Amino acid sequence: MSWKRFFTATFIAFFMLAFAVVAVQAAPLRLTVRTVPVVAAQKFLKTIPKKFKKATGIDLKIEFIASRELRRRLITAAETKSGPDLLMVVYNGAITVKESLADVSEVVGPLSKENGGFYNMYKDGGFIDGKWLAAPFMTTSQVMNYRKDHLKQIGENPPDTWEDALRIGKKLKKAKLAPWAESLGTHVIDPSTTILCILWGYGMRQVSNDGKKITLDSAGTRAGLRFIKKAYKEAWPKGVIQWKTLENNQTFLAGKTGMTINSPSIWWKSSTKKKWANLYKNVGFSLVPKGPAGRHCTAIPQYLVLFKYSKKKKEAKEFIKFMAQADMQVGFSKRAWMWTPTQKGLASRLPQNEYYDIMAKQALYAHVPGWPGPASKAGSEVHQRFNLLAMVQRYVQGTQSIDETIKQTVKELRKIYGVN
Amino acid sequence: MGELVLEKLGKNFGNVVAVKDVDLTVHDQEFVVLLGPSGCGKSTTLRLIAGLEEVTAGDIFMDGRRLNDVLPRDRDIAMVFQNYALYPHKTVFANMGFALKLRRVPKDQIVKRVKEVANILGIDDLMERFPKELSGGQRQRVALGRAIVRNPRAFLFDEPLSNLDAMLRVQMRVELLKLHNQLNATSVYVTHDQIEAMTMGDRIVVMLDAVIQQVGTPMEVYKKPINQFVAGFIGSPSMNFAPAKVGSADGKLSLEGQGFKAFVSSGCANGLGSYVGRDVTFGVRPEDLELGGDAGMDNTFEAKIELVEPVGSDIFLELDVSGTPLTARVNANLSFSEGEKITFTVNPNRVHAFDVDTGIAIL
Amino acid sequence: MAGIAEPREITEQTKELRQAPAEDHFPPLGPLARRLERPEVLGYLMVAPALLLLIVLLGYPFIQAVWLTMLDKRVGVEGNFIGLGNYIDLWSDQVYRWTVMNTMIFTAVSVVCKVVFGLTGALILNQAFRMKNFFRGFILLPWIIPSVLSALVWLWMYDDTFGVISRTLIAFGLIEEKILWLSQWGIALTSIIIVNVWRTMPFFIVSLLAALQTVPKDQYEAAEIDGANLLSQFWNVTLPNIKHVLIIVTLFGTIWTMSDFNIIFVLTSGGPANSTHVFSTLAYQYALGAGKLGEGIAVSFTMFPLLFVIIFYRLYRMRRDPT
Repeated sequence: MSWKRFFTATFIAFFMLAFAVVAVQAAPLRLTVRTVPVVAAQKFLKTIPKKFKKATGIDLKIEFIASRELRRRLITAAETKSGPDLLMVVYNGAITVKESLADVSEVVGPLSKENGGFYNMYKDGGFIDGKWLAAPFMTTSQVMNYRKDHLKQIGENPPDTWEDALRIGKKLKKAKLAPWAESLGTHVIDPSTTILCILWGYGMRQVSNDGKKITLDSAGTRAGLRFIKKAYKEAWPKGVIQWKTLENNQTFLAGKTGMTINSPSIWWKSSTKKKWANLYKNVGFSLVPKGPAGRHCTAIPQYLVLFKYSKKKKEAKEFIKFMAQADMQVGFSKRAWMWTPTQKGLASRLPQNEYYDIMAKQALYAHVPGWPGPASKAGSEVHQRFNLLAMVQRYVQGTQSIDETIKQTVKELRKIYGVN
Repeated sequence: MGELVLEKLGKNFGNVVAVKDVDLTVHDQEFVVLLGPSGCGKSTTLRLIAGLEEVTAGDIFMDGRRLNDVLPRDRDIAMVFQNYALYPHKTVFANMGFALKLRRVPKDQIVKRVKEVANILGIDDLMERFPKELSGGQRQRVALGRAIVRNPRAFLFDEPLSNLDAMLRVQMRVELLKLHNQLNATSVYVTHDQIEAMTMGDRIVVMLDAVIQQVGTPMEVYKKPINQFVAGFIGSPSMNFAPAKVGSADGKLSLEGQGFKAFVSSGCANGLGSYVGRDVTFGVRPEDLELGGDAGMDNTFEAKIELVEPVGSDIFLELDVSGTPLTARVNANLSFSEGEKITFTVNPNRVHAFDVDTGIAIL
Repeated sequence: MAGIAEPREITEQTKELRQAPAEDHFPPLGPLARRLERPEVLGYLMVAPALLLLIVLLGYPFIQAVWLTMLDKRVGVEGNFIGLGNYIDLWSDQVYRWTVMNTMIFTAVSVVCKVVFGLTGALILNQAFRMKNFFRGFILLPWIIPSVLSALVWLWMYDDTFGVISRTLIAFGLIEEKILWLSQWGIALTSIIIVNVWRTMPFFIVSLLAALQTVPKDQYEAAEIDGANLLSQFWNVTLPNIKHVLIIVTLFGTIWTMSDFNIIFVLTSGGPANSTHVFSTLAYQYALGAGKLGEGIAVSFTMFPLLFVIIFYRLYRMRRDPT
């Protein structure tokens, strides 16, 4: 190799290296979140980069993807070590890829002590192995939706206990009013979470608090299962066995169902079209009913995770702090109908109406699937592989007796958790 | 057994008339050739007989039984196709035995019969082969064998030799003839090749534009063509045609054209009398132009040789007779050069004349 | 007269072409070039780039995948080698065993239906009738629509509240109560098969139609004269003539059916009670849901021996077939 060539090569290499360094430096912080269907809220999200730049001088680029794409993006980013710096995850997504995530305790730790602290459920999915690996971002509560007009007609108040719900459900059915319905098909959202609300309320705990023992086979589990089967037989439409996550919204909007646990999306959606004006007036929210073992429910906790591969960790942490500010949390929630802040204390700054009131209260009772065990991959896996849902489906459809279905599920859980 | 009668047979495809008013009787054991250019209706006639096309008009009878509404499989007729139409996935044996198998003939009889026929055709060593593994001639034989095995009342051949190369075609032609003499089965054979027609047919049926032009033995058709089309279609090289005027002198009729004047022997001149003074088409076969003769004599004239085409056994001479082009066929032992002038004599017994408008033969 | 080019002419022409450049017109070849010129060397040399590409594009990911199935690999973590551990785990997994059975039933029934209906459709479309070309184009529609979209439409049709299928059946008095198409193993699998057949049948119809059109007409005529009725014409002429296309189409159909994902994922997501999973949806659940990449890929990978056996057997039979 001649000297001339050597110099040329060195020069090019140096130039490329310099370019790469500059490119990384100049690249904006990349954030990927789900598209929000509420127009005003989506607009608000789009103004964030500007506000963030003004506040911190950091460039931010937000990429919006469909919510069903989040999971795929999470797995690909973790596995290929490339993608956005910050990604929105829901439920227990952070646990699945915990090895790929950067510790954000430094910023989330202090935040967890402000404004009354985060809702408890955020620990279930974000505080992993003693560290915050996911920063609480936004809350979507799942509440009991009901038809005020129909309940009035049968002379009932919204249900406070599951037995109330069943009684109301039976009455609605008898009166040929829009019935109570809970999805029991196969999906990670509605069916999976609704059965947890009921089973938890009756005392089902899949695992002990320390995660060292499978505690599924209990009287609570049996009571919960029996209640679901009863509700299915006596109050719910037969079709719920194949409902995934959209059917209860669609049927509620069409006036075919009148009571269901769901995110506030039905209420929001009914406001968007004239044909649903009457429905909009009559949608009511109440807390998810309680059972003998207390009031428990799920919500959709949304986090931001910061990947280890990110070259913008400092900036990302700045953004987490920025998003946790009361103005941002409340500002977004006000516009977003279905969203509320992550810290309990901010509830007082929300619009004062029955809907926000219930949403904020409901979040106090929420857990992430996998509860009451500590955040673990096993807990997440049980949710994603529908073990508990399948347990319910088998029993409700009568393919297995209550003992058989519990026995099979215990076996499955033991294998997944690797404990007894 | 196998007398085939076609009565006023007709076939239309939409507005297209493919076959019209065909009357024909094929006698038992007769070998009849349907001859004509492509599109003349000969193949359609054959397919009507086979039952592959539905008859539009007229009737078909086989030994007195009306076949119009009889399914092809019940007509007791075998057909050999141009492309052989062998079943590619069946062995030669299975191909030949298929029709018998469908007729539920016992296996041992099928084997016996197929072997017999294969023996006749000389293909007994090919029994386990597939059509793909055969040469064109072998396939042809299998196709024949498939027809013969059934021992039908009549054989139909649809240009069976046209896919073979020239040598093989001649060879197969001979074999087919021998076979026919051996089997003596009623056969209808479609071809556009006049040599095949001439050599094979007991009778030839010449067709043009959906209509039968002439039916006759090969020599009849050759010697006494019924019209200008038949005259021109049969014979190679074709009959010479030239415009002429009918003249009469000393009780002798003559045909006079540009550069020639041919007297007609009185024995043949029957119809020509009424044409005296009118235009006709003069016709003479190349071999009826006889070399030699003294210039100035009757029927003799001078010609310039434009082109010499030796074809081995003969020489074809393209002549220019004062502007009229003629082709002559002469002995190959002679030698000619282009541009040379020679004299020819027209045999007065072999002169043809055709009506200018209708093309019908006057003599 | 169909002018089929005589092979003889072609070879003679080629011979002439080969002989045309007299050897002394070119400089003599060097020893290396002479060696390379040899057909057995040159042949391999010329396929080498394509082969290399295949190895890089297919071979490498394949081996990578095999390796991954032997690790307890989870997302974002380096896995440890556990040999056949994943497979052993799978075998003791009831859901997986169900899935194997489901995949077999799903594939077998689907493919058989596609062949039967596809062939029937092709035979119908091969007849001359009015608007034939319109129908020939129209029939392709299910195949053109993205499968997720059509699966969503079917989901809507199977819906118990709004679904048009149950309603229609009730309107015609064929059933009394709504059928929950996706609620139980047997009926859900049937519903899935219906959509899958509906979606892929156009490919079968069009391919087989193309094959039918190449069957020489005179073979039918010969068979007709030989005494074959419609059924035996079908067995003795149609079927043998389209056999190769049928085999290829079935082969592709089997591969596509076995690896179908969208329809099942949209319609049942493997439910109820994980009873309608096939390999692809179960692999998705393990890999993307639970984040167990090694086990997920192992699930997909168990499809391979099955497919391999089918493909190998089919191709082997085809190569041996003299016709």
